[in-house]
Amino acid sequence: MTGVFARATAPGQADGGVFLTVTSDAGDTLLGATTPAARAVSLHRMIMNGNVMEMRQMASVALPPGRPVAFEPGSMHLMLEGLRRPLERGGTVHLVLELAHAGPVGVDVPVAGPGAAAP
Amino acid sequence: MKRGLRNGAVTLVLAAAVVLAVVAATHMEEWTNPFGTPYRSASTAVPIGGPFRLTGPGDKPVSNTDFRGKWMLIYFGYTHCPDACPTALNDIGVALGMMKQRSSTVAPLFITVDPERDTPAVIGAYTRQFSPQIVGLTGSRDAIERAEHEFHVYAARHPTPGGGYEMDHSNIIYVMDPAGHFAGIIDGSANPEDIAAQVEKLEA
Repeated sequence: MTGVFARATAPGQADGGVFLTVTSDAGDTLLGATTPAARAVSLHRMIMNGNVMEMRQMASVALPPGRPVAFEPGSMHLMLEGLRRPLERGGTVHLVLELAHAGPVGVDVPVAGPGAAAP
Repeated sequence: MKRGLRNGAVTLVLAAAVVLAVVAATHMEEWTNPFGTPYRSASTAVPIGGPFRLTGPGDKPVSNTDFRGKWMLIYFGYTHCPDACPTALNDIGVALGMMKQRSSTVAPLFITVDPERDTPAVIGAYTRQFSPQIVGLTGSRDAIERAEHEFHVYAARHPTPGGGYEMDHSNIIYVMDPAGHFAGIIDGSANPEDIAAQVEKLEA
């Protein structure tokens, strides 16, 4: 996994975003994730429909063998819903990705700035 | 071709041409503005912008006239949006830094399309992350809808499986001149250099 980071959030902000690029050598499917930092994690895709931004939840994301799949601003992200505490810049949030074949995969996500484009 | 069929075909072509002309006229903004370059509003038939009376941080009433004398940069979004809104607000914040002294002529505003969840406290804390200069505004559903209507902002709820909802919304920065008139738009996904450059061009 590369390019792993979360965006810092403000007090009262309910949702946060995590971005990363993941490659599965054998091929797999990302089904979701969990984190102690939030109530739930869902997979989202952002689509620009003309000048209108649309966010859509995805049930799963395919990870073709050997091909990096990027969750980055402007395309996809893991949305942390119902944050228990704000994500603080400089801190870390622990995420467990649920993969169909590989099972649970843990990752420590460093928290960058609130509008960060990269770690 | 038989006479009747020929007339029918001609009518169809004319009708299509009319439809195309109407579509072209109403979409001219998007088509001549693919890279978010600013343009003057003289040619748009539809007036953009208008008076608003909303609520700012600390439950303070805020209206458009409070910003007379400054260039308003207005972005509509919501705090439950981890991608486009933080990106746009971050870029506006960075652009302000690039503008240096000129940034004092600018009043960046973030108006929520989700007033039910974005209370004054939430939205104030949210915008402060990007720049203390950005003013986060919310209000009653009526007041917000009026503002959306005046700026021709598209905003729609989209329910999510968990029982919540996300918002589809226009990703546009509206620029209003110091007299409060529409001056142009900047694409919400423009990078900070472009935002700063386009604002400076409009100010010139």
